[in-house]
Amino acid sequence: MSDPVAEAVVAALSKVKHIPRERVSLDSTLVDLGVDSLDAITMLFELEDQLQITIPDEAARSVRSVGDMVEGIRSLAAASCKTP
Amino acid sequence: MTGLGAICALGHTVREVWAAMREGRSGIGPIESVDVSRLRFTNGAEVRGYEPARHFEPNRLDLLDRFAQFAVVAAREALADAGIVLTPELGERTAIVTGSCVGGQTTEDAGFADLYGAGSGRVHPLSIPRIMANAGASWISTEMGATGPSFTVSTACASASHAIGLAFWLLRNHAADLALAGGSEAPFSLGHLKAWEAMRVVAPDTCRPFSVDRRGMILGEGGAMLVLEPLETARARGARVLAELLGFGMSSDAHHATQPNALGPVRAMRAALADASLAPEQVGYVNAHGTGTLANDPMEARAIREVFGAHASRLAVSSTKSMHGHALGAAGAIEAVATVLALSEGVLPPTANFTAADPECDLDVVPLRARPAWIEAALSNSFAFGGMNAVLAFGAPGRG
Repeated sequence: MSDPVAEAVVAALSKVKHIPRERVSLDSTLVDLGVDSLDAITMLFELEDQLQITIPDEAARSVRSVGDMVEGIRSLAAASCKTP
Repeated sequence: MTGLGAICALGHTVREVWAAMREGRSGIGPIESVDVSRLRFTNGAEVRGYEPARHFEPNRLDLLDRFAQFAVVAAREALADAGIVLTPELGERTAIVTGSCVGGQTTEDAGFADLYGAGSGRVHPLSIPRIMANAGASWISTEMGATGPSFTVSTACASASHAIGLAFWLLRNHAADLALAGGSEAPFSLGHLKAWEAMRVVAPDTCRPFSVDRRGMILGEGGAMLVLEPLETARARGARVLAELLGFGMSSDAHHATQPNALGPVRAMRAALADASLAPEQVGYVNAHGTGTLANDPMEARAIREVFGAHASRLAVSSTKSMHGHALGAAGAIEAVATVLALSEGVLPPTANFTAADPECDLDVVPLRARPAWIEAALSNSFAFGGMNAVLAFGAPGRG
């Protein structure tokens, strides 16, 4: 997993859930990983910190899987690049 | 009272805490968890050698401030000591009542230091559930499956005594059949210690309640929980009854935020005696609020003389804060444990660090050494900033 965004998401999940990185894949759903609402907001905090981005509440709500999260962050990054 | 749990500067279990009290050994020493180079006082009564990971899984620890950890650790010990396993049916009839003065302020202090000091711009998302003062009660009920009434009382230094008294009244009013009640506190952060420093009530040396050269209080931390159940229930299941909680009295000074006034404590002690149907002469021991401040101790001595009259001269009065420090919202619970054990073990814990008597505190303060004595009844006093007073009246097991 050489993609830096995917790396960051997996690292954040691993840290928040206290689980090995190997247990996290892009196909894993947040339900599979036992991510509850408090885990989710802690993950968003970690990702904002690591990637120096701001994740709006609305963008976070539709996320169901690790892949969704990686995609969401990529599009946020792309959108912020377009902003003059 | 059928089960006790405690963790404080004197030890991590009731057995360790009581052994220290019997020896008159103080847990006060140099503060280690906070850099004291910017403080005018350097001593405290911290829980030393405590390793959170020995008590909690990592994902649970993320959610638990130190003060809530102490509540859960003490509650586990108390329930095991009582020999009780909560079934879902008993869980529904079990109340959890905790006291805390400042809640998860170490979490708050660290978060705000990052925000204001380090300019992080953010505060950790688990801060709110860690800081909330009811976190101890919440985690005890969650872990044990206690689904009856649970709540937290915050009346500064009287929090745990109010919590135990209210749990007692819940049982007496048949709102629950079993209760775990007590308190916990973890007040050691630089911001909080600075606030105490500014109050100018913390001793630069140690806590010497009722001594003529006392210089103030010493902050402490920890937690203590007690298992309460109706006497007939305890006897029916063959439980070991450590002591009976006979009465609870409350009052307010309606006087001053911090300056004590004897009238409020007098009324609280009288209310506890009346609630317990005890005559003053039946009481053999008072676990004093006894903070070691210039203001509290003579006021408390006057209040005890007022309530007990001539019997005050035959009464043993000690402050165990001389050993476990002033653990604020946990203090009343640690002292209730000391009072229950005084009744059940026939040993009165001493006032440690005592040097010489203050004529204004002319009571038998059980100086320095524990004293063997079988007594019939005892009071545990807690008088809070804000003028809120709570007094618990305990009786020896088997007296009824």
